[in-house]
Amino acid sequence: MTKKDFQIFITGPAGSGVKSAGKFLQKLLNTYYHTFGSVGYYSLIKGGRNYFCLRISQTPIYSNTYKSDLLVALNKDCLFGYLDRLKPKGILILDNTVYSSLTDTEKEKLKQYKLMTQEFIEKAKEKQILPISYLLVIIGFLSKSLSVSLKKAQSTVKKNYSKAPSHIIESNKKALQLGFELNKDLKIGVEPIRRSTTNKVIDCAYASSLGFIKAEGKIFTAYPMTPSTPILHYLAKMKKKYKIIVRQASTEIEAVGFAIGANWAFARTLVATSGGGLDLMGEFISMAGMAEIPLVIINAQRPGPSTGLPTWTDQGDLDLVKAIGHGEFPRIVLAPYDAKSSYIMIQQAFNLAEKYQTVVFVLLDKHLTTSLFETKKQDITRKIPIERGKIDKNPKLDKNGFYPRYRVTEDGVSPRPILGHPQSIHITNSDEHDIYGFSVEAGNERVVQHSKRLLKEKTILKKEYTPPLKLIANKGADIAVVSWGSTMGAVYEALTKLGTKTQNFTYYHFTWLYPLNYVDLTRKFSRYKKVILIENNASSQLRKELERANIKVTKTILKFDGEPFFVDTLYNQLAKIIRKTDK
Amino acid sequence: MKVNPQEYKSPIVPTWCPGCGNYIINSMLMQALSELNYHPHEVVLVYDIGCNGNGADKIRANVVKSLHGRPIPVALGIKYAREDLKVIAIGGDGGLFWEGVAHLIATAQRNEPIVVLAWDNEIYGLTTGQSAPTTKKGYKTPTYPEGTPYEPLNPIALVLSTNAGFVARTYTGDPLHLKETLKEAISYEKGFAFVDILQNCATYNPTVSYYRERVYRVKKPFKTKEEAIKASLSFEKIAIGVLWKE
Repeated sequence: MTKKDFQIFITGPAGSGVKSAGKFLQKLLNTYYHTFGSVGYYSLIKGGRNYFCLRISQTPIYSNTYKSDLLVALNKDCLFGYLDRLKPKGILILDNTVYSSLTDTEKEKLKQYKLMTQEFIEKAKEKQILPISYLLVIIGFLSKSLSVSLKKAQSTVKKNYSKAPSHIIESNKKALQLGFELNKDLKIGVEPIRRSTTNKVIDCAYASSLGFIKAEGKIFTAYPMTPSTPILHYLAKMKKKYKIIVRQASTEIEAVGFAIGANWAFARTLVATSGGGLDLMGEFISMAGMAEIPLVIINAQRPGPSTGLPTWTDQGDLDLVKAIGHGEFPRIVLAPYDAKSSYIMIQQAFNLAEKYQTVVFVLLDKHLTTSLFETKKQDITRKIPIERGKIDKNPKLDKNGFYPRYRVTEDGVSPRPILGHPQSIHITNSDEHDIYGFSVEAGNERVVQHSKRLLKEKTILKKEYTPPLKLIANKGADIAVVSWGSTMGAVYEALTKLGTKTQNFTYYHFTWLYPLNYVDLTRKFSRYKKVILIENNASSQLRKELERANIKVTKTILKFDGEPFFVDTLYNQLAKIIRKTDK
Repeated sequence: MKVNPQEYKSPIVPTWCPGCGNYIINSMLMQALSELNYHPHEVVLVYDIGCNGNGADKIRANVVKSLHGRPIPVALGIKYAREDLKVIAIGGDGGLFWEGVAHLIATAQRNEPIVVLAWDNEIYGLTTGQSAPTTKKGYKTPTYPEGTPYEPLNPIALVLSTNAGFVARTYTGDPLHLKETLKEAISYEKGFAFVDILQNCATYNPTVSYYRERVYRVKKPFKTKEEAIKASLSFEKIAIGVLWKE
């Protein structure tokens, strides 16, 4: 029987190479199928239960399902930890040593699955394959049933591990070969849809890094914090090639202060962190608002509060980025939903930050920074034209010897004079100030400057505001389904599937989260009888914004267990709500 | 051609108390920069919050007035973006040695190419006289009316224990020494230059005579770190001058 769709779930303790082997398999299979891969890991270095969840399909996919068709577990703990992710009658692949470690009662629990046990490790030992390559025996085993030739697998392993010493590459190749030999009768049954593709599989941390380079970024600085750390690692590797500076800061406060200094001096500088690190940056974010300094911060969300679940995913920081930093000042919040949009939005973020001389947040999360999205090459090469905003290249000092940095203008944006010019001497002040940056006390100057800064938000709304994407439009639909950020993949797929049964919904996805044009939203949503809001958090944070536009959210679908939404379970939830309404 | 110190003159009248050491530091900074032939547009001064930060518009140069304790990271970002500019971070004892001490230590440890000037009056002036990291034990403040209960922090010993390339101490009671020390620090090109400027707080911590009785000049930097640290430890005989230079 042929299938359209198949999900492989590989789980093992940290240190067993699950993530890297899974990524390798996805890269390999991307040549033949559409793919989506995600990783799960614990906040530890050895042990625990890591996983790589790889879905392949004949049609484009953007997320995982909860239930998998095949599960590989490298030890007993991982097996029972994730057995629920395997469909009844799904294929369960275990090494002999794992199976023989089970009690009879435990073996009984496996009866409902198609169990395949193999002497992967024993045979690998016989062939003198290095322990580091053991998992590739299983990858080879799977590959054979997925239209991959041994030759292709071996050449990909060489490419993928190009920096590894040659004896490891040889061991990896031998491991793949052994896997192919051991596989006599595994049937997966998804026909390949193609023989080659230039599509890449990349995570949004990588895509954001490429976007930063494309935006002509000069400096990246961060304090390591999961799940933003991959961006630091990617850019550190790229720094020579692209002649950028990458600095590990001693604190998040140093990182953001550094970025404020460098951006003030016209070097596009990016900071990445996660919620707790962002909390520490609050005072400097407020300074960027007052002193009118461009600032772009990636906040890769993870479940909070506090240390929370460091290695899992969540959308709990929307309220935070809308409010962080004391006092009132304009800000922009963008939320990419895949690799392509991450790549584009980092570029847009720098343009916006420089044009409006304020802070722009790019909200990612663990699901985005670590999941592997199939991405067309042209989607991560497009350059958004650089816009640096009002820069005075021929500055002129006023009679008092200073350049009026905070001149009042119609749109609220004052030109920034180029730096180091004899006619550009100016004061940038975190104190309230007058047009020259001279500190002032209570009174009219404060009113003038504060109004000027807040005017920028009106200009942003007028010139830059991006309405939610209408990803699925059905004429005359009564229901609006709404989401933002990383949930898009699962929501889109679930709704597409539902679309074959009912068309009574329209799907809106927000990528621009703040400031919102409430009048526009009121108009857009007034026609819908029901609004279903889907978020990866517990308090439905976007709802607060929708309510400001008088949009009544009739139903929320919320998930805050640390995992992203899955197509299959989300489909069931949506079908229940939408089809019930149909009747 | 020499740069005229008048180029650094701001039209804003200082609001410091009569007798405040800031007047001397501000004016010596203007003179040091002009004597080193820097024009104001070639200089970036990044200020802390506090009485020193109130000086942000009392000198004519490129100025960023940052946050309490945070001038160092901002100055560093500017320096990395524009190596050609002379970037100087200015902070008080409260800002540099408590609120933002992590920045001082990390930046000194990495011997980053900026100048840090501590305007060290051993008191929180602008918030009306609370105890500071460098306040002497027993000194009565609004926070500790019975007397500050702990020994002061020693900024020089602290910075000497890192990899900072240039460490100096000077005081406002000797303006010429102050100016010359600033000139040496600003001309230092091999990394992190730190100057602890002991100064008078006329209102909350008058120390002019205290220092005059105790300071002695070090003619040239010590040859070893050990000697420099040893000299820095005494508060009874206070060594001023460039104590360490690599």
